[in-house]
Amino acid sequence: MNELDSVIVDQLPSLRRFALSLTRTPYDADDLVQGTVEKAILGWQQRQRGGAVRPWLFSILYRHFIDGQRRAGRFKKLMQLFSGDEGETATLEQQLEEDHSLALFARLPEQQRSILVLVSVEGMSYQEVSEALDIPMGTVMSRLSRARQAYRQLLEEVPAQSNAKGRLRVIR
Amino acid sequence: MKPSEEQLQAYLDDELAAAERAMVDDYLARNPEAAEQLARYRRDAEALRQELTALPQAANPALHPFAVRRELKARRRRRFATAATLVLALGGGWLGGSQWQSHLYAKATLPMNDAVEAYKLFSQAPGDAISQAQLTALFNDHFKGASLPPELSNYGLKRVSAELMATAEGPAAMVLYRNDEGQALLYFIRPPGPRHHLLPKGQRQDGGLLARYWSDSDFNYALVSPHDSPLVPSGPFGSI
Repeated sequence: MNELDSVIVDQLPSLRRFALSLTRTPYDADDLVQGTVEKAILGWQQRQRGGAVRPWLFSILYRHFIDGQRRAGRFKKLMQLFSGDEGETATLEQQLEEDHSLALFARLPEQQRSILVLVSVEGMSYQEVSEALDIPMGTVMSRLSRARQAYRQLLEEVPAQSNAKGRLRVIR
Repeated sequence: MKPSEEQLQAYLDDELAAAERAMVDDYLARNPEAAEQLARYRRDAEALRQELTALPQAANPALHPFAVRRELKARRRRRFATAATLVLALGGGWLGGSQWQSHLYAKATLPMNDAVEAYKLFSQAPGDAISQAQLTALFNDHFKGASLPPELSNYGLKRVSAELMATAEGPAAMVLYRNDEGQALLYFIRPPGPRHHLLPKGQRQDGGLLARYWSDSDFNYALVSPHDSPLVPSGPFGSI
């Protein structure tokens, strides 16, 4: 196996997790990963040497996701125009209990989800995240700060709501 | 000194240089609330990491680079095959198209219809006798190798006019004969139809007219006359 293939195989679980956090449906996530592997293989020769392979792979995935979102957005608008419905598959939120922390996480905006996964789950350095998401270091830090606050707020708010519901049931 | 929000995040992720780190350590020691907030962020991150990494991932061999490379190769082959098919289709289409075009022409166009139309237009046109020299010059210029329209005085016919005409395939000409009773015979010569469409020897009736036609290797010919009075037998024109 060549260098690229071994890095890809090594990173597949991480790439699939990152993809799932972006798309929120396992099927779309694997589709995204497959497209990423394909782009990586095709782009390997043209890649500027010297940079780390891992953030490069993640950056391909992220760009591929963003491009796909734009296409999907246009497609969805078109479909809604004809059918009037959303046509979505089950998302992470729908698969999990509504107060499950992952379901809450899935409610965060995409930019906050992606940065939390890369830093907190995949343990990437800020430099690597900056490369993967193609944003400046300063943006990495400010976005990370907002993401952590937003996630904490969701975790604090929602269980309180479900506890409140629980108490109401007891009173009845 | 109060660290910035970004510095606190960087502290959490171990991204600070030693001096800054010491500064934040010092700040947190004096601010338990801020320390507790950072601790919550750290717990959130750890919980998220555990939950996400614990999510089962169904085996998907299609994601393996080996499978993707194989698929890429297969796609290239399919593309090549598609391109090859397209070339064949275009080539076949062109050939088929030209034969089809010829076939269509034969079906859609009555043999020597332009000769019949020329008769309808010119049979009554006035004209003076045309000399053999004029006729020879005209045919030498435009219909090399074609047999000259003969003298038909034996049949009471006189050449009264010769006219060049244009067709999509090149020049055509009609030579008009007329007898004393005013009956007309039209000799028509033209290049073969599209794709060198030559005619089998034949004749057809078109209203009150009779068109007899034939081809040699270079030209199509017709004789057009009233149907009930052909005026000449085929003989004098050789091929007919």
